[in-house]
Amino acid sequence: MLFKANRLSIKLPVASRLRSLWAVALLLSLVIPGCTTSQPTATLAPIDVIGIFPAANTIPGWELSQEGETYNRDNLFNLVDGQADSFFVYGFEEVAVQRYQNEAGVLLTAEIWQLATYADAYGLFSAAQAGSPAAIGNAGDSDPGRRLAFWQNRYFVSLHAVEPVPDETLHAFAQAIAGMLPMGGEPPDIVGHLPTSGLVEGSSIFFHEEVSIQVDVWLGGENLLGLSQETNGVVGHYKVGNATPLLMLIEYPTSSQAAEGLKALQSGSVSGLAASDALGNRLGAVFGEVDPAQAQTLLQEALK
Amino acid sequence: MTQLTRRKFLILTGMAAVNLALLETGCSKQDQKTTGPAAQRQAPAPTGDQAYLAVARGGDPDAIVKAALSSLGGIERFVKQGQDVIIKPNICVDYHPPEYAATTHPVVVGALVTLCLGAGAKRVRVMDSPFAGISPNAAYAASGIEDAVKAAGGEMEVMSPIKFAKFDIPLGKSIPSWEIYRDVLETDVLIDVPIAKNHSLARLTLGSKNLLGVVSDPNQIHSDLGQRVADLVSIIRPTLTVVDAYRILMDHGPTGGSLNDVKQANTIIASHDIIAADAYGATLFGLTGADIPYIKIGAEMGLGTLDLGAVKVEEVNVV
Repeated sequence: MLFKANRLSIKLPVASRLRSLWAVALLLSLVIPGCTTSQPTATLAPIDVIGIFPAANTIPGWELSQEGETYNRDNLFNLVDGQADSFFVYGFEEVAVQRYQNEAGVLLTAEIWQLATYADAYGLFSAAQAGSPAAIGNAGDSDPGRRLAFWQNRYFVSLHAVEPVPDETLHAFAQAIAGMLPMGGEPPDIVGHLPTSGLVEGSSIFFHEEVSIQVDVWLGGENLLGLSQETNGVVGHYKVGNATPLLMLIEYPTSSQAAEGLKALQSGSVSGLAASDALGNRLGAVFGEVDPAQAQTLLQEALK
Repeated sequence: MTQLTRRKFLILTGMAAVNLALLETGCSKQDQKTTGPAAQRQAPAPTGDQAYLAVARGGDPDAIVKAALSSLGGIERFVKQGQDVIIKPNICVDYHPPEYAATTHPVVVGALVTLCLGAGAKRVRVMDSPFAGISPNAAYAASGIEDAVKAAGGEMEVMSPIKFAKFDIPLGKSIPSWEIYRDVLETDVLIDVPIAKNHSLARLTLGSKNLLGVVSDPNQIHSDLGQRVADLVSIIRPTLTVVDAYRILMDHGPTGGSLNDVKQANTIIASHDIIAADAYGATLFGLTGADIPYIKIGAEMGLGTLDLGAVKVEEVNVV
């Protein structure tokens, strides 16, 4: 509880008491963080990310091959070179890296990425998906024996081995790390607006800015749609008959921004646009070679 | 007036001599501006029946490298007896072995070393600046390129920080000068050997983008990326560009990490024209050169051609 309610000394009539209870509930909803936005906020208390990594031989046979390192916005480039912007757009705050080595000399790298919000951690996970689903954290993605990634709370964790290792080893590391991270986190609301029928599993990507989706859809590289950290978007690939269109939804802070985005999208500079519309503060679009009527059906299902 | 002891005098004189020697050998990392000698290096245009751009396809990476070079007129068009050669592949990380298509195929690099030495090159060095991983040596080993180069008689070189020097970029529109690895500009022959792959920011890494491995502070290049990469191409001027498209990384580049993102394309693209080579490479991803800012700008600057229909493109299938 954030505060202690004063006990009322006067007994009110029932109707008045109910109105008072609603008023208190409304007041509580305004002061408790996260209740007024559509995004659950992360537990923002800082943690010692380096301290999360399993110690030597926690996973039997795996020693630390070097001291752990951390990178922030100032030096992330030293770790990921030109990809740094791809992480900044997901509210990147810090990444800790620890390498392990077994007796055979095989190297395994563990990375723990701290992002600004649950949504950002989910977003980075969704953008990095390349394998098969794995039951770890809130959701995992696996290239068995080589790579395992998951997201949990506002953290994205990635493990990769230079040479094949037993998949159980990757899962053991992942479980050890997941056990030390704060729990919680939900995908952002907009992801739930993707129609489920025909959605290709693992194809959805949550994004703020277009750099995160430019393999899927090229919007010109000039921020045509006015995207920013304040916009929440999602793309997903669909199977519609023999066609495989891409659905894109973007939630803007205001409906006028959505209308501007729609106007820009319909200006003709983006190729492959099959259908587009806006409803309130949401812009939707379908790309690809697909029957126009089917594109509209998909779009309207997403926007409703 | 401070009196110098004989010992101090000798120390100071010795230091001055060493410094002068370092300056003359280019090993001093003093702030110096010079016009890059690469402005003098000319990529040899085709003559007679030689192709402008060669595309070789087949299951054997060694064979298709040789077939592509043959279409261009042979390695002898690019490498002469006694010349110093640097080959610049992509060895960006030590995370993954070659089949993950984040680094240039070792057989491709080895084949080029063999060809260059066969043409009489006095020395063939291979180098890159990995941006992540334990060390350049670890990345060289993990990529398989170190073994392939040594087996072919070449040398792997770890790029020394003191060999970067600041050079003017006369054609530069975004960057008037930059620190570039001196040896890369001074070598007789520079062969640029990128692996064709997706890049999360640049869309694709091809020949032009691959040259970021020979400059200092590449982080700063990623601002105004298209123009800055083209500016660097204008000064670095590879003699030959060989795009390794034997396996290509379709997504989650430049480091990749999943075999699901790797496509077997069985292709080698080679040309004296880096822009043309990149333009053809873009087509393997369903794009054109004009879709990639650094390629488009490079063409606009006159560094090469996007118009593949206007030049002799020879396509060879190697059975």
